[in-house]
Amino acid sequence: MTRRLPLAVWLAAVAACAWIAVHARFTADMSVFLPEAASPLQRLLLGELREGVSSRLVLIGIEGAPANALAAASRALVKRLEGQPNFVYLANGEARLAAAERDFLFANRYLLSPGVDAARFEPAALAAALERGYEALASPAGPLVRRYLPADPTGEFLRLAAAFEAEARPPTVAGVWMSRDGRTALALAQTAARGFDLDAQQANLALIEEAFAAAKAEVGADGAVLRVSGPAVFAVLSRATIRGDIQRLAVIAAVVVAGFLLAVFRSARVVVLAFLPVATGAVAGVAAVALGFGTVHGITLGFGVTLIGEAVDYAIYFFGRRREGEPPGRGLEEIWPTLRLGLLVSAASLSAMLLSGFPGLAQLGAFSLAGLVAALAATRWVLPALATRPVAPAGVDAIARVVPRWRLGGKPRVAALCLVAGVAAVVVARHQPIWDDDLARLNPVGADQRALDERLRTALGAPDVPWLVVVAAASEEAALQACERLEAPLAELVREKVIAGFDSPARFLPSRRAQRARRDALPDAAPLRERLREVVAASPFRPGMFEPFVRDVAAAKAGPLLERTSLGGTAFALKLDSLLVQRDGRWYAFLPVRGVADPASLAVRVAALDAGDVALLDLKAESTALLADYREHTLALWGLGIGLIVAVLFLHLRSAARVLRVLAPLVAAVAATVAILLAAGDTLTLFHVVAALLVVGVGSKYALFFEHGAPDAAQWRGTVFAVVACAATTVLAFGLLAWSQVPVLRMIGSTVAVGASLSLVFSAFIARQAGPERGVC
Amino acid sequence: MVGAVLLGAAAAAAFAADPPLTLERLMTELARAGPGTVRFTEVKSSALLKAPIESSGTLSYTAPARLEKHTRLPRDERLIVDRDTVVIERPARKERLELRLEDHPAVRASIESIRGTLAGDLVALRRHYRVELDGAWAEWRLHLLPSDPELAELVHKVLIGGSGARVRRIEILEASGDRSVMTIGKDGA
Repeated sequence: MTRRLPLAVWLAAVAACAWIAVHARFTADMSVFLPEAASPLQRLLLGELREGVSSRLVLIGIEGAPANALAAASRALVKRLEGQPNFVYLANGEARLAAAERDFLFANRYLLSPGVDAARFEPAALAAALERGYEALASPAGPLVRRYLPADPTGEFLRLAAAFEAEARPPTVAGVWMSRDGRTALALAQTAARGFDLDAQQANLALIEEAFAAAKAEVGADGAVLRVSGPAVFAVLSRATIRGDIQRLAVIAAVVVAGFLLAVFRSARVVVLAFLPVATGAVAGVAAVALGFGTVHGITLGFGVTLIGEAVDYAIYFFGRRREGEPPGRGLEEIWPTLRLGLLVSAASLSAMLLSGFPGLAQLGAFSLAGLVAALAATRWVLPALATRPVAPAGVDAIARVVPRWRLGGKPRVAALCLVAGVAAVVVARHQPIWDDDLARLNPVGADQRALDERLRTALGAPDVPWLVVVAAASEEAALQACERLEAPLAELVREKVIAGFDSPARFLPSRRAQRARRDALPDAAPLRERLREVVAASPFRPGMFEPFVRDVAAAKAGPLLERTSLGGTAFALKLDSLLVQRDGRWYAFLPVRGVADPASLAVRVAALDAGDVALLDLKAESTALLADYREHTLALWGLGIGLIVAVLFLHLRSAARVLRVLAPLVAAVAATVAILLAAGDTLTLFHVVAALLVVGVGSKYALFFEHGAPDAAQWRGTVFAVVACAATTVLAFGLLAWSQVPVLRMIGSTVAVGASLSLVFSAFIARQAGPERGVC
Repeated sequence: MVGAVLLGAAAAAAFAADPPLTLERLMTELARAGPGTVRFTEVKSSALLKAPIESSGTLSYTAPARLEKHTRLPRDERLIVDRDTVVIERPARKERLELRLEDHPAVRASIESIRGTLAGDLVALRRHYRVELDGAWAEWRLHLLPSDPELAELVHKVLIGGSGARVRRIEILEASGDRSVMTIGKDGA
């Protein structure tokens, strides 16, 4: 009965956890490794980053063939993608699409043009407009002017069009967008799905590739290759990278650790049983994360690899201490207080991850904590029920002999550790720079993909604009009015060459107030016709030629104002969606600023603007500052974690001297690890900070066991063996993570692998060897 | 250009004995002519106007990519195209305008029809037009048909007439039914 009950409880718990884990949703959204935003503005930025229109943009480049073949392939590709419900907008510079925007500008010119006021329609102004029109007719722009003159003699449309055309847009070759060097045909697609809806985005990318292959064959563009980029592409690639990494690393780690156990215990049964706590921990970890966070991140699973290295420790202690003729759990019970203490110290160190403010890191912390608790419980109560005959591990004596070679006295050894820590601290202090707060480095997508992204963005004139003027208002109308008030001061900055240009949502959708003012300024048909008759009579134009003008003005005067929905089907709708958004009941307008020549003076001028709730954002600086803030925050948590560890140690050891002896090798190990990482050319991120705390958690077990000592030489050999074997599996598992393609995993892996090795070596400095055992309460 | 114009009728006669007229040969001959200045008169007739606009001035071309159209009558105006930029100067209004050709596809196409022909640059012409040729060396006609649908909405056809290596007449037939005819006369600065 006593044998069966733990088994039954364990089976039920594992089944429940497995059910939760199987039904959990998995993501690879790298933005969970962005901190949770503190201010509303930051929340807005992160929200946009995660699900805004820009996250749905796919940048497309076609290269590797002559320009004409590329253009033909571009046309054929867009034709194939058009009409698919997956894409809400496609553009490659073809006239047909430009026509939609041109028609919109022309049809709504009297509501859109800032030049529309009553003076525009006075006889003198009309006469001057006709005079200009007459001259322009004979110019090289004649055919263009001729087309619009009868309906738009005051030139509102051509002025609007010129303002939009002045924006950076790629040049066209044979009617489609082409990079300036003529090597890449360019196109844009906006997906219906959110950027981080990875399954949908993967399907979208497959659709684009399929359409491209067909388009290429259709136009015979031999050698042409497709290049895609954008947030969705990054997310899909990240997921593939993470998935590939996890599978590869998990298999390698399992094989290596199993091989190690087999070499030591020479029993397949032990190896299988040793993985039982590991598997229990992994299932419990995933279930805990699924319950606590709703979704499980791919990186969290990747982190599970480290659990193989840590949770297998318990099995090593269990099998390493089993003796012939004793109940199976007896050996473990003897060291139970130390194991429990080690787990408490680990929990204290993981709490810094749980509280870090990064949903992603918190997941890793929760996963590890739940995993370790479950693994230890499984070792304590389930393994004894399953294990049969004890096996004597190989190499115990050889391994144990390594440690007692240090025959220094207690004080000189602690002094040696202080020396190590001091030297490491000097190395760290002399290193510049220590910190790296660039968010982009966290992305698992390779440097070549990032370079491609930048190249396509630059060529498309859609750079990742780092400067934004942000306006917050209570309503859409108020936000648009604020944008209109900003127009003049920002135009002044353009004239002064502080900035090269800017964009504003009010250019596509003026506020209702501005639209109404323009509509009210339009003359009625009868007086306008009368005025025109006189003006035309005195001009070189034939009478009656401007009737379309009278008709259009009358229609605009009687017509409705523009709504957001009026922009549907044009590229302006996409643009408006990204420049004017509602979040948490507030409206935000973004005015991207191009070509900032003088950031300092831009900041001063924007701060001095009196247009309501206006702020200037430097996205790059903002994200870096955000990360630096969170590093500070994490360092504070580090302090908290260390405080918790010291408290836990003190409560159990009840001696300041013993706590200091246990901490000395750990502090030395962390200091030396940081020094080694810096010397190897790394700069530190807050993920290194978190990893350093994990080092303390892992290393504390080695220090505790060595400090604790053993009643006799045989038991001491067993302890040394178990500690060294545990350290070996930990270093193996975390060391494998250091080869990951995912920067977050790589940082944590290399830090813990180096730190755990050093912790083992330094902990041996304080080893008591055989002698009177010290109690752990 | 100057060379071509100086050759005059004698040259045209000499071409009669030359190999049959092809687009490539004509372009080679046009390209061979050096820089020069010629007079032009232009008549723009439009349904909008009571009377056609008549203007005159000089046209200068310098290989490979500079074209200057200096209109003297009815008012002074200079249009200077160099590679990808256009400068328009109107001294009477004290105006100076600078444009990039690629921002103004319609302007670019009409300028390229003249510059491309004078330069004998078939590649530049074909970027905007389908090019057809008829006639003989003594009197040939180039038909430039817009290949870009957006341009075709504005310009129906550009018709260039000449003899030998000399361009005599550039006629632009607009989609609106308006037309402008530029007649190129003798050399003169």
